[in-house]
Amino acid sequence: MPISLPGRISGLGWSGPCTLVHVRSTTVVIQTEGDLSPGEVVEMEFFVSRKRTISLMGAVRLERSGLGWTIALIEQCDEYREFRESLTLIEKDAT
Amino acid sequence: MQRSGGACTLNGLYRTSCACAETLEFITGSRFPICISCNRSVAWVYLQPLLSGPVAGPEAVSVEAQVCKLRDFLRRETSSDPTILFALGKSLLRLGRVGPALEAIYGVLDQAPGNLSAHLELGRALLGFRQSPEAIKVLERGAEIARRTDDLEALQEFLALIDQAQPGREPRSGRSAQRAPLDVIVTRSDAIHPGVYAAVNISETGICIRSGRCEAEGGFVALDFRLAGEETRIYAKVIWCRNDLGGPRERPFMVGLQFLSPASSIVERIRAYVRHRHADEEDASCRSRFPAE
Repeated sequence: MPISLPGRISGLGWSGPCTLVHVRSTTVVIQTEGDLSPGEVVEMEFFVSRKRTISLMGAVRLERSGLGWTIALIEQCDEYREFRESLTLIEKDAT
Repeated sequence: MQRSGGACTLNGLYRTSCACAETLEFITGSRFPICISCNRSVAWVYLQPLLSGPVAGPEAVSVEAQVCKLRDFLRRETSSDPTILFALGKSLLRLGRVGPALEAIYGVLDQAPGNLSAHLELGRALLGFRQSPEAIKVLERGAEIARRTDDLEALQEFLALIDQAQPGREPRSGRSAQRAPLDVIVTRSDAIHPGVYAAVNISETGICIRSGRCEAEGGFVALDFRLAGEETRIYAKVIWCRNDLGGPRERPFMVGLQFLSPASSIVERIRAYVRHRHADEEDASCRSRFPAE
């Protein structure tokens, strides 16, 4: 399910804004102006609400998808799992 | 690849993609300048990390923590995605642990033999550790895959690294090779700047074409044309471009291109074509000097 959640990404010696556009169980797809390189380890934070933040760590996938950069997740917080489950429920309701 | 004006995100040695091939070191955060020789905006190709050694201090601690997390993940998960293994290889390289790093990247290539990023990283790493013969093998394999998949940007990086690995190699010169006129339409089929040209002449090392626009020197192009009845695709680099005042109005620019490591079958086809054209010309010259009675 396509989404658009703003956040920040930090990689090899830089950090900047990014947008979470797709979530899956083991990967996420993000868009950013920064130049990522395959295999680069990145840390991301997305702001679900004023009080809730999702923290993720992953590695940039070898091949870039049309949507944006695919990040293979190494670490995901509980908030992320809850967030993904809530999206899945919305998707099920919609169908 | 980075362009003039962009910020450097990875410390290292970079080379301009233009014919000047200027090589400079950049550190994270610095801006890529225009080429200091030709004074134009160019692409900067990453060649290798700075030879200042592995990361140290707080950065090393942070990379070490990443390595632990990546290793834990690989122990825990049995995913066939080679990304995490590749990330581990790159992080180990940053820490200067060459053996385990190369083992991880070779592991990526076992899982994904056609992966260009892994070929590039392995080639750079081997070059950085003075393993030139092995580096050249890896880079040539990568260049072949880039050529097959029409990835011009990757091909440019592979060829720049191959040049760096063979510093004593004589540059291929288009001047010494015999040329022959060629009267065909040439299509530039790469996605960067497609176009249609008229061929002027060809040799085994390069081609001269007429273009309706001024082509950027140092640019990489994929060309398609018919040669001796066969469809031929070849990659080339723009060496020079000049406005030919006496040329046709629709194609006023003459452009000289040098072929980039063409396949031996294509070189053979061009040689045969050039030989054949010269033999025809000699026959015609003999007939004009000694006309049949």
